[in-house]
Amino acid sequence: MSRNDSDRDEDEEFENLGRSQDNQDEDSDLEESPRRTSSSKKPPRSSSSSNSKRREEEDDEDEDDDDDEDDEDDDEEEADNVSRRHKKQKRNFNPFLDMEAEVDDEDEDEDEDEESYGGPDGFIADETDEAAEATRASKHMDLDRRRREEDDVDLEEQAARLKERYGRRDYAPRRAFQGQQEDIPQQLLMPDVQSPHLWMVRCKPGKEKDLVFSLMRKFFDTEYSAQPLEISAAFSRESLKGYVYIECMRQANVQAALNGLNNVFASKLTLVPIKEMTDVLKVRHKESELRPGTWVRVKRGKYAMDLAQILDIADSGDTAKVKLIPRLDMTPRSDASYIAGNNKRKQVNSALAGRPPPKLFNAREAEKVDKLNKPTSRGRGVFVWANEVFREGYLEKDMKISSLITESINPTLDEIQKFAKGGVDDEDGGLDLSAVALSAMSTSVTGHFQPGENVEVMEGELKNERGTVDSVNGDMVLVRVWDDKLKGNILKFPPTQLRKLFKEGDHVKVVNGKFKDETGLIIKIEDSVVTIVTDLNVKDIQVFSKDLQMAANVASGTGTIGQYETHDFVQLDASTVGVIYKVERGFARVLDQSGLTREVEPHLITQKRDSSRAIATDGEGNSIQDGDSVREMGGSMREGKILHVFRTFAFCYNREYMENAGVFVQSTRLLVSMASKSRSQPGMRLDTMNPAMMNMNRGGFNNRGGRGGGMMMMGRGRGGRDPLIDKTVTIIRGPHKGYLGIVKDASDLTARVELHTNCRIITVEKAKLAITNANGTTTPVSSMPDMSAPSTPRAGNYGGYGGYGGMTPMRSGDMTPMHPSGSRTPAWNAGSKTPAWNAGSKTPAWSASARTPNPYADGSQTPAWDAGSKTPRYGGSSAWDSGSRTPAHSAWDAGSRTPARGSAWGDSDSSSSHNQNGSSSGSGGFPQTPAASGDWMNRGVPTPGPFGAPSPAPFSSYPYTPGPSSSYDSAPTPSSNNFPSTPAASSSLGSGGGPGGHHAGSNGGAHSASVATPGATPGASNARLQSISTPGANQTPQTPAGGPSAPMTPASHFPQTPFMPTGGDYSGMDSHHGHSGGQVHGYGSGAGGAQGAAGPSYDWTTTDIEVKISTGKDGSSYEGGKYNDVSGRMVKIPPRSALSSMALCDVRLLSGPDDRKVIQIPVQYLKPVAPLKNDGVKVLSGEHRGALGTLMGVDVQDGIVSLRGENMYKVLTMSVLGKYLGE
Amino acid sequence: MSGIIPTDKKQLRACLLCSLIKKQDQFFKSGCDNCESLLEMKGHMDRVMDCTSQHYDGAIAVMQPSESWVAKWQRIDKFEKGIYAVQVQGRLPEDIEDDLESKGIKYRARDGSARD
Repeated sequence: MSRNDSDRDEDEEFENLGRSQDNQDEDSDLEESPRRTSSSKKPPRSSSSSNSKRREEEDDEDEDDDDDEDDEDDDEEEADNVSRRHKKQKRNFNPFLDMEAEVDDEDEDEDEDEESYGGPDGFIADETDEAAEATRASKHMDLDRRRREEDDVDLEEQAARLKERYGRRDYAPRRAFQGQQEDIPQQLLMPDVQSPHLWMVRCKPGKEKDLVFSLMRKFFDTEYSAQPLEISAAFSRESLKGYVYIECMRQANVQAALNGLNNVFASKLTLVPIKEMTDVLKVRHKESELRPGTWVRVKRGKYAMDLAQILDIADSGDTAKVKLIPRLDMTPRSDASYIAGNNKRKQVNSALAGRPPPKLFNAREAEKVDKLNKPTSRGRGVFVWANEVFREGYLEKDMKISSLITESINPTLDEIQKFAKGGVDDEDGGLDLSAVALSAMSTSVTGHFQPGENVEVMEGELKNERGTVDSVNGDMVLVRVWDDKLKGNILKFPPTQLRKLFKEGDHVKVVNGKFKDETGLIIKIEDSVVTIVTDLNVKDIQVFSKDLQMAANVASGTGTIGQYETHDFVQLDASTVGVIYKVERGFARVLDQSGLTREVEPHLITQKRDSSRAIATDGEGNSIQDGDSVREMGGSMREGKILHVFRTFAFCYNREYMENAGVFVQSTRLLVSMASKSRSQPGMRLDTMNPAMMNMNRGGFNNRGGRGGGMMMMGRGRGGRDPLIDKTVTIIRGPHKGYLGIVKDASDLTARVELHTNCRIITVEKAKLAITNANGTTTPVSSMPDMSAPSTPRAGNYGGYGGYGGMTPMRSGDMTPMHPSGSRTPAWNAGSKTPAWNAGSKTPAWSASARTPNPYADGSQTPAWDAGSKTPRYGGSSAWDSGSRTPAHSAWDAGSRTPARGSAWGDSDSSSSHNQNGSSSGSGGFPQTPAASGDWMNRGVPTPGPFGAPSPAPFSSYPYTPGPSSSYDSAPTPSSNNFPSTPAASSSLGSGGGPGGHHAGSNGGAHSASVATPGATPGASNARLQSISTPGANQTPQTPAGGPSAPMTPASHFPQTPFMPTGGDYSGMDSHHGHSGGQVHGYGSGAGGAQGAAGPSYDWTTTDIEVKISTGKDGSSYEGGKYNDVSGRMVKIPPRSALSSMALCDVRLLSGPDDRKVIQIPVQYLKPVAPLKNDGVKVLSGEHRGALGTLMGVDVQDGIVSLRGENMYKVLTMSVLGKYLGE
Repeated sequence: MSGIIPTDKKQLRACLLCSLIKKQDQFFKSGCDNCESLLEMKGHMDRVMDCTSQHYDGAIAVMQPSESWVAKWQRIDKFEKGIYAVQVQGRLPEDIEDDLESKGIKYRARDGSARD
């Protein structure tokens, strides 16, 4: 504090100085005299002026004396009299110089007061001894003064300089600023215990300033009263709403001060701790917010929300000159419109509505527009027109800063580009990087900083300091500084003061801006502008370091452009469609159906197409559709998953191909589905079916839908429309519970419901909806699988769906009576009710469906299945009985069927159902139907039954009604996706899933799935089907069905999932079969059959990889499970041609009791062990099969592998990687 | 004395030199109570506009400048009693700043940019 003390001393000295000068009229102390004498050296002033001056002074003097009179009276009357006399004389004679001289002469012994009279006296005094003496004295003083001056240069200099310049007046303020100039560091002004206390008082928000003002007024009012306010200051801050601070010594003073004031809650007084006092007054450094180059937006008026750039800020800080893209009305002005334009009111009203588009100013155009007032040029691209200044086409305008939005501007690239001088043509858009940098700074937010990033401080005391971001707290970034002195300290910085620190060679990702999501290597760093070479197209790009982040992975480009994203199926023109295989900045790369690639800007894309319902026939007559895995029949034998089907073209994708980012297009005739192997059943071939027929069927379907709809009043025109649409629903859960509304639109999972109450349309999950039936009852849209409650009656229209209701197993039990809604056949109802279904007595189909749930119950049985598959169909009464049912079903009795089933099916239902004719059972004629139905979106699949229903009674009369509706709708119903949750689902499952690419196969797959996971409902459909009813299936990991979740990897890749193989091959049997058969195989022979078809399933076998011994797919264990979970190393493998589940491999055990022993074990009990990061790996399949490498990292299901001999990383599915144990 | 207090809350401006808050017409009529000799705002509306700002934060009623820590911290402890801003946006025009400098006064901006 020594410094402080000295400062204070200096201050005091100043004050002394000041005071003496202020009072110099009265005082005549020694200090002053020298100055006075020195002034006497100045040339004598004119006598009159000095006289007048002197007289004034004497008056003062006199009064003083008068005041003192009483005191002096007694003691020295004489002297007093004399002096008074003298003075009187003086006064009398003052006006005249002569007289004064006389007086002076007389008053030789005048007291020292005389000296203070300065000049005039000196001038006279020369002749007197005393005067001489005084002069001498003053000379001494002068010398003294000079010496002192030397001693204390600063002080004197300042005082003198000020004095010379300004004379006496104005000293006080100068002194004040002088003090300020002292430059006392603010740290030394910190409050201490002697400072007055600061009290925080709550008040009514918004009244803070009023209170401060009233306090001030109160202070002045009471200043000279008996009880002055004893507070030294009071203040409020905008940022501290609801509080006023009062500074004083004692709490009582605060209360006294606040007494009688409104809007203040004086009862709550809080003492601000000394430490926090400065925080209250902390000045936020706002200056950086706005500076030339910053982007802002205009709040109001013609340019509302337009981007503007600050060119200059007025000194007062309240106005700024901004650069805008003018919005000028360029319609030629006739005289009439001119007048109209003057109608201000009108203009204001239409200011926003019809404001002209932003466009750069063009003088020539302007001339044409307004012939009366042509723009005047001010040279160099500057024009003045209509009182506005345009520079190089941009409008320059002074605007109040308060009318600008300055925060979170986030200008888009497009907007900035418009401001770029050179337009958009050159590579970087001609952007002035520095300007953008500036603006970017200002928008820098903490979000850009991630813990662990290295940063450098850009401004402030710690400039150039480096550190690591420790955490981000609100709008401050906490940085652990590296510097030795500060080591370990965590300092807070506003993000604007930091910039990210990178080294050349760092691999980074752009997290913001137009290059967002690009990755690359840093090749140059200039301040905060970093040049990187992108990984994707090896171009140099410049970005701000703040927009970068260290990144290990290589970007595959941004996924979306506008409303389109990678792998979207888009229509380019009337005859061209394509798939976006890569999205780049500003355009998408599209592969069209002829195999050509093109770069397309989003606006050139006509529309996005939906191919999810498209079906095509592959080279072997199997139907294929989106999501199926296929292989080329010739050529390069590429494999892939179908992204989209378009007429006879399929767009496929396989991430392992580099060309076109893995997307290729091929004629469907040249593809073969990898999942379905239904070749053995020519009868089932899709291609035998006339495509026209297919169409017909399809059409029929539609009709049916329509018809059914008609009957049921569903009013659906197309089969695919979500049945929920236009339904009155009640929201049964969530925040809107209890609201009634109409479904306006629906997607797989959600519905948009227009509420009756307030006409709002909200999006609600379907699971939260219940359909309100005509009679006031409700039916939950999604019955949960476990919702056994038969209670929910199915009703009215829904009932109409009934169809589906029936089908969906879920619904099961409840098929309520309601159902019957007119359309239904009586039978139906009957069916519906029978709760007994377990009993096997099942009534017609319905019950069957109803019963599905049970099956589940059994667990072991593929309940779903049965339920699904059969139920419906049987529905058809007779069919049913006939045992069309799956064997599995023991419950049913139906059991008998199983294998046979295929045929059974065929005849009974399937056919019938499909053909709309529906009518009767005769359908036998279309054996394929079932399959077909499957194709149609899977959804149909299960349904067959329903139609099939043709069965006797009910149907016959209303062939369509229940059946149809049910079949089709059923699917949709619950899930709304049209995908039948019912058994059919299973089929869909297959298709969705990896292996069982298609329906045919899928059935099989499904089965197996279900088998595997007994719990799973039949519905097991793919995730995307979302069959409400049977979600279970999807979730069970082991089910091949799992496939759907990892569609890319064909089942074969998962040796570990036992059932896998079955999936596809199963199809050997006809699809129908699937159901019943599914079980059988699934359990028993399943594996075997599977292999046959799925050759590749043990394809992974290779030497020197680590394997684990586990149970086989059929649940059996090798040697009774003795070696289960033991790991080993593959030593010898059977030839590939001999691969089967029983093929023996030599495995050297690596653990367990028989360590190092080599055993022979059937391959089915082996699973490759997944490598971990940094493990050696061997590629098990794919084009790199057999290659060795190191696993550098794992990204979900992909491994990043450094292959030996290649200096590039490969991204391979983890399932094709085995842990390599060799050298 | 009370001429230094704003009469109402409209059109308040803060002196850029000393941060005193007054109404615009008060500045115009009587200048800044602390800085009149330096800024000479009295009677010159343009000077008033140049040397004061309507963008300021906080209001401090300084009753006893010499005793108040708040005033000291704000470096307004040698000024008149009155209402001051905690922070004033903007700076004096450069010519005025130069002028002040020639008078031996270093301008300390009140916008928070001054550093110690």
